[in-house]
Amino acid sequence: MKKVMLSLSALSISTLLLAGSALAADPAFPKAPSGNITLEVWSWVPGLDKTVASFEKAYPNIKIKILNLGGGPATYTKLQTAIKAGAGAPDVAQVEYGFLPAFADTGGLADLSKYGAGDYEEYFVPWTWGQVSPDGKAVYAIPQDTGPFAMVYRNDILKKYGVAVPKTWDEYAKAAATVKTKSKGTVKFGNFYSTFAPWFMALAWADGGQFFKRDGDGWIQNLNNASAKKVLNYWNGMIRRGEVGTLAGFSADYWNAAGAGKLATNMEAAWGPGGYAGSLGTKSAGMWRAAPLPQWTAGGSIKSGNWGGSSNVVTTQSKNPQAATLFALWLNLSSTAITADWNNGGLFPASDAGLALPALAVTSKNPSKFFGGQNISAVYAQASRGVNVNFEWAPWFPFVNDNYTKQIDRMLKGQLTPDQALDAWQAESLAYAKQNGFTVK
Amino acid sequence: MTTTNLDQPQTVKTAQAPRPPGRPRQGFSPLQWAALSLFCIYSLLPLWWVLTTMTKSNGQLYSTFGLWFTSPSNFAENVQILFTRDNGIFLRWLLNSILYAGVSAVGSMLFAAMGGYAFSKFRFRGSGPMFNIILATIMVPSTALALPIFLLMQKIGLINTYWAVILPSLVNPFGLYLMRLFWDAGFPTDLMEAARIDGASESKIFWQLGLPLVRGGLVTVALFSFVGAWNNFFLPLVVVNRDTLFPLTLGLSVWNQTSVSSGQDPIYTVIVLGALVSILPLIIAFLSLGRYWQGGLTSGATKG
Repeated sequence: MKKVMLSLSALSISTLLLAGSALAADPAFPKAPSGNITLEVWSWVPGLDKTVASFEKAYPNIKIKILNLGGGPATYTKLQTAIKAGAGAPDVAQVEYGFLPAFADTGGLADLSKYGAGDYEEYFVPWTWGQVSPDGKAVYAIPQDTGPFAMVYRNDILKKYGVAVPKTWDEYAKAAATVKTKSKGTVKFGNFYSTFAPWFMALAWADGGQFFKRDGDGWIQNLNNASAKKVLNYWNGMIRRGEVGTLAGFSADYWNAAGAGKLATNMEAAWGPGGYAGSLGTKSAGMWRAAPLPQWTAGGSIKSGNWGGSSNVVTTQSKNPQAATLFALWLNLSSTAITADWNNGGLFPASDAGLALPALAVTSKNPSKFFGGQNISAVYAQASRGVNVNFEWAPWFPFVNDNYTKQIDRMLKGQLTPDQALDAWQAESLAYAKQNGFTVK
Repeated sequence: MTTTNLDQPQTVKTAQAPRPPGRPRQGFSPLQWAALSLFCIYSLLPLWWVLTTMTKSNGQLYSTFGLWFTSPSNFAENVQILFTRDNGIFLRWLLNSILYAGVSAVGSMLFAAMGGYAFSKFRFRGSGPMFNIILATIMVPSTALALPIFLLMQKIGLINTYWAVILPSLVNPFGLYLMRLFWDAGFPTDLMEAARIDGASESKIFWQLGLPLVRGGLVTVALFSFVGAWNNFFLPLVVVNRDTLFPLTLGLSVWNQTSVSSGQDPIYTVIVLGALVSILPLIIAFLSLGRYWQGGLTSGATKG
């Protein structure tokens, strides 16, 4: 008996080991440079100071110092100041995709293709590489986390009003009308985040919309592209009919409505569900589910867009760009780091193999637990693989972002049609970019 | 106290009589009462929100009425998180802020007093243009100075030290200007010359005879500098790279941003509690020093 137990446990250990090594199929990282090296890293990934211990163990001659400024404008101001000053910048810094072009234009970012980063393209979900290497040659960053789009919905509310989970935007609009009628207008089927340009752009992105494109030394800006017009007209229609709300994202009003069952669905990025679990607590816990983003045409492969996410740049001020590149690759491709970042901060990986890591599929913990134990990471992994590769940002995006809010506000007040709002967005942003010395058409 | 000053300047001016300054001569009319009460409520409402919110959990923040307490109270737990999160670094930030603001207040007060004294009591070559240049620097916004200060600190190797935050805060051109006015009004040149004739040394005249006479000015400058350094965000943001050197402003903002950026485990109510703790020293400073401050202002006003 005892013998059998022993052999059994030996067997299970060996299977575990096998499984472990299969899952931990990290790529072969570049060789570390010799000598004692200290890398300064500016990042707002929670718990990163502990995660890097594994790196320091694997590469004993490299020490990592972390500065966490929490992200947001202050973080960029500090990085921008150090880059402009030509001194004091870190070796590695976390930068969101949308801000990469602005930093690349300062000349402060190292081209990582010089340090062999190009060999690692195949390990990332294709669209993420498009974000860090728009021209396919120079590599300005290593992709870190992502926010592919999917639909979150209240299972109980959809059941209550007898509507199926919509697979197309056509079905979505019909379901919205049904829920409005049956609930006598008390339940909104969806919510349009009227102050988040990247949210709207992700919806157009899913339809192949492109807003910016580098053109030689200049730029092409196309904020009023066909996809953008299609998407905005679609949502404006539902808003006018009172089927969809326009509550501000992350606001108390929004969480109140979401927790009280006054909202049936919303389009959220992969990092969104963690916020639902954190902000709603016990309210409506277990009633939410996730499903693929509704599609414009039925039956094809799932297409999606992206909202948020970030990358790791290496600055030209780094004295050890080789080691810095190695660290950025390790941080975003090793299963140890990806697992830790998911557990500590809900970072949805850009690594293709990372999407299949067991930690993401754990349903007994949030965010999946809050979503009724559904493996929502699988939904978002499918979404990420369906994100269009061709999508660029421009250095003047901060202005574009603010101007969007202004034009949409005018649209919601009925002063502009959706087409007019997008045309005004394009015109005012174009004028701003030109005023600020960009060659753009 | 401030409102009486604003609304009734005449009363304050004539308050050299035994009547304690700051107390109005007669009662307010009902209309004034209503307006003042409304203004009072308007100013205190955000503080009231802070007091109610700091007793809630993050979940209760969204699910309960904003301007009233809720049960069960989460206050004890918030206090615990505030002082233990990230190995209790909040306390470190609090001490850092006290150090930064304290040294800045005392230092800039002394420098302003000395500089103001020089401009007030001595005529020297170029004193006029020099004073005007100092006045002009009041107009330069501190954000514009961040990059030069950063480069300077980098050059002399003080980046990422306490000095990088403290040294720039010691210079307070407005304080110097204010101190000159106080020296002009509070320390007559005749008195200085009399002291000289009596054989007092220059340093004795400044430290022992002069300074006590401009106490109101000193406290005013110290308070201004203390508040300025306490609220300073941009300078420490740029020149400090370790969270162990953060002041409260920077630390709380990082916690807040982390809650926004990651969305997981947000601690907004803890941050609100931290914000309240962070204004307590300011309230204490004003309550304990405000008397000198007001006295100084009125004496300056009547004599100047």
